[in-house]
Amino acid sequence: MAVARMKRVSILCHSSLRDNVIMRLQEAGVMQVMDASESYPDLAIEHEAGSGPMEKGIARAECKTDGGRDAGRGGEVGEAPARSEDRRTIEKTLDELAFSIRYLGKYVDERKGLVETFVAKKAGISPEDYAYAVAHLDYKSLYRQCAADDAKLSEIQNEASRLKEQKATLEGWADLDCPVSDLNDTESVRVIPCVLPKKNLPRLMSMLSDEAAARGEDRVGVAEGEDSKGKAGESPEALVEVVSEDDRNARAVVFCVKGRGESRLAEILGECGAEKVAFGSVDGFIKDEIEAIDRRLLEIPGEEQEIRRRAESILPQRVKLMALYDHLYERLRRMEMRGLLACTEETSLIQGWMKAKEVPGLSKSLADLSGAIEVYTEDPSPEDDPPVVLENPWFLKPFEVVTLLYGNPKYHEIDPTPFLAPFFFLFFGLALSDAGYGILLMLISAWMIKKVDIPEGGKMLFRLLFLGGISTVIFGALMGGWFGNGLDILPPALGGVRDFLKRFAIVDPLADPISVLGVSLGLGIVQIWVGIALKLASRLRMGEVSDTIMEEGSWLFFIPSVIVFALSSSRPLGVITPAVGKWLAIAGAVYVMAAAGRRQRVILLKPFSAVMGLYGSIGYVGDVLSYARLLALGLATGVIAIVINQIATLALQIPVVGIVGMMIILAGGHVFNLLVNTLGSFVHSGRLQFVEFFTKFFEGGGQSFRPFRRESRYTTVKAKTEP
Amino acid sequence: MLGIGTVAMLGLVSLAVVAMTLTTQLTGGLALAILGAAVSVFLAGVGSAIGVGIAGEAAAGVVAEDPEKFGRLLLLQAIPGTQGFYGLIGGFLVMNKLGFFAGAVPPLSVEQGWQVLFACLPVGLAGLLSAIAQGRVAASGIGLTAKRPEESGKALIMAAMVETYAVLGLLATLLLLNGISV
Repeated sequence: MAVARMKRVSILCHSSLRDNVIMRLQEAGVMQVMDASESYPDLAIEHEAGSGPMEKGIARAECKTDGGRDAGRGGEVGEAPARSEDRRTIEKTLDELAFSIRYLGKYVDERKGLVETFVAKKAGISPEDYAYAVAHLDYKSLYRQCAADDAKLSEIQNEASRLKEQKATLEGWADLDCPVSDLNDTESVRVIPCVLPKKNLPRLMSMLSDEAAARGEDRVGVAEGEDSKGKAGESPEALVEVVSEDDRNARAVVFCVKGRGESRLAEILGECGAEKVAFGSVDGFIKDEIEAIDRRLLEIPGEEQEIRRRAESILPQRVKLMALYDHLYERLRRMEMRGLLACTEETSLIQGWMKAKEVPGLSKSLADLSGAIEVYTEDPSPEDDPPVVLENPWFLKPFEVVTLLYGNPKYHEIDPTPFLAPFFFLFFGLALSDAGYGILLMLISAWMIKKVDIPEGGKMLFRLLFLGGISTVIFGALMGGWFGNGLDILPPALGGVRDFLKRFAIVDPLADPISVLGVSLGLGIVQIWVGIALKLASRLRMGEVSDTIMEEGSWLFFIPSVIVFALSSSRPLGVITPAVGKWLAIAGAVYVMAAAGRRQRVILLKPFSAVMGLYGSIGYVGDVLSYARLLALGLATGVIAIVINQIATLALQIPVVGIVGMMIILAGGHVFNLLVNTLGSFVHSGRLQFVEFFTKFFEGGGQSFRPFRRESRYTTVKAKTEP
Repeated sequence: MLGIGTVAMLGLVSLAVVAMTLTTQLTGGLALAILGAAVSVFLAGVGSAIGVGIAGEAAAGVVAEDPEKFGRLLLLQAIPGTQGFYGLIGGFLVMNKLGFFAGAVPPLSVEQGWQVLFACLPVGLAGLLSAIAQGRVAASGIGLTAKRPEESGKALIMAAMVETYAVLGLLATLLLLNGISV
């Protein structure tokens, strides 16, 4: 029920055993390895050199010590030589595998459900397949196929878009009734096929005829086709033949006599926005070319289909590629681990942190391996900052989700989980406060935990929501909230149920919000008081007895005394008459002032410091008011639920389909309201812990425990492979 | 910020103008009270729409890079949406108070109408502005989630810090309406 006790572990072994030890550590997954060179900077650090043979060394040792007991790792034994190479090769192989997995992933027909959208799922694989993949999978040829197909695919996709573009250019020229080769320049005539905005066509004509007029002859016309042989001069002698026009552009062929005003013609064409068209490799009739493009475009989907078929035929191998990836990734991690060792010529030292109670198990496992391994443990010193693991009984474990959302406690600090758990439980229920929703939330959470394959962290969250659901049912029943005002609109036949459920209701938050506000603020005061008390406890532990009895103790007395005073002023509480209450509060105030004045060295200033000390209550008042949100959130749930019910009742008045409409509105509306308000209740209950509660006693900032262990990215081996 | 200010000012000015016009024309306070309900719903709703919009733009960008994060980002995008609901609750509380659902709306004096209208301002205005601010925090939180998805819970909490003031606005409206006798 606290932060787990950690040990600093040093494992000293003969260098020949090093890789076996690393392997054992990875399997056990209980130790966070740290860089031993930091403690022993003068010792050599093992580098990558010679790692190839070492990996084989592992395989041999596996044979000898484990006898291939484990199908998952059995592959190690019969490993193909190509797979036990240096780190760079492994990294390259991992890249290739990741590429193939991603490539094939495009062809996986996987409809993601709602749940998969939120959590990535790992592929399951049987131990036999895993072993096969590791030992025999011909990933190289799979990779080659994937890479080739991927390249081919992007090639034909590029080709398709290029062809489409080309076709769009050519389409306007389809009416050209001669092969493109005829558009080449002749000895004396230049041929310029061009595109220009349609609206500029008349302008081009008139400009050219003006030029002709300037020469005194009209030689320009549309489709006149007659050969023109004018005098030499500045004005061009040109003929325009329009091939086609569409809404925006016109395509035309301009013929002009070489060497006669060509530069002027270029100017004119430029002014009219005409651009010369290049037909590239096209030689024959445009019409034929377009047909050829169309034929090719028809073939492309077939080729894509072919690539898809090939990919689908090797799709079953994808999970094996994943298995191999995971296997190699774990090996890479082992190699990286070597960099953290400190070595002498004959020995290797591995250092790290692990939970104290897991030390014996690991020691035994290592002792089984060889007698030449020594395990030393030390307790962490106060200067150490060991990684933190929280340990709580099962009913508190889900609340660790809340603690970890804020961050780990420091190792030497207390774990706030057990203290926040009851408050979080109450706050969540008060903020959601609808028994119907509570039941729904419990059902959904139970279903998620039992039936859906989600990671452990996610399950923990749903366990927390399940507990929150219980609390919600309690508060909902007390406030008479069953899907909002669901009880009031029950058909008369269910009157018995209604009367039974209504018996639990002791307050209606809509009619009497002040009472619920009082409960919310009261819970807040209690939580803040507990927070201060925890601070007192931790300072007592550190030996700051007199300081904390003044500083925290004064508030621990003052806050309840003010409450008692407030309550007793209206009517006496047993022996506490208003007068007694008043004196209690005054005593509390004096206590606080004494504590605040105590620190002030200058005697004359002591009274001022003392009064300033009382000012601290403003902060506490602010904190307490923050708990008013519980009332507001609770009402929010209830009111929206009532609105949904009302709209649904309206829908019922629609003839014939009314009942269906009502059902849809009720189901959709309430599920939506549940989601939105569960999110709100969770976040705000959490915030009250972090901002109002933790600030009183909790610092946080411990590093989390990241043991060196087997980690897979893609797969989970289905049956348990460890004996 | 200019945009937010403009929206707020517009809201206030149009509110005042409409209110003035109504009071000179009507003898009863019912229209004022209805204006209160409307203001509560539409101001907070506008704020949520803007806030969810801001967050949504950021989220769409991240999803373009990494569709797997959709679920986490959706939660962050939804968070500035709650103000709209608080506004609706404000409106509902007014309707409930006036007996719209019971079917008998009592005659309301102009003074009572004003009271209801003013009681609606906290949730409307706090909702409007806090939703926009929260949308921006959520957008930053979405950036945080893009880089460190495991920390998305913290982004959620940061966005919730802004929401506190919308909750307080709702609370004030609730208590004020509770105090008005109709």
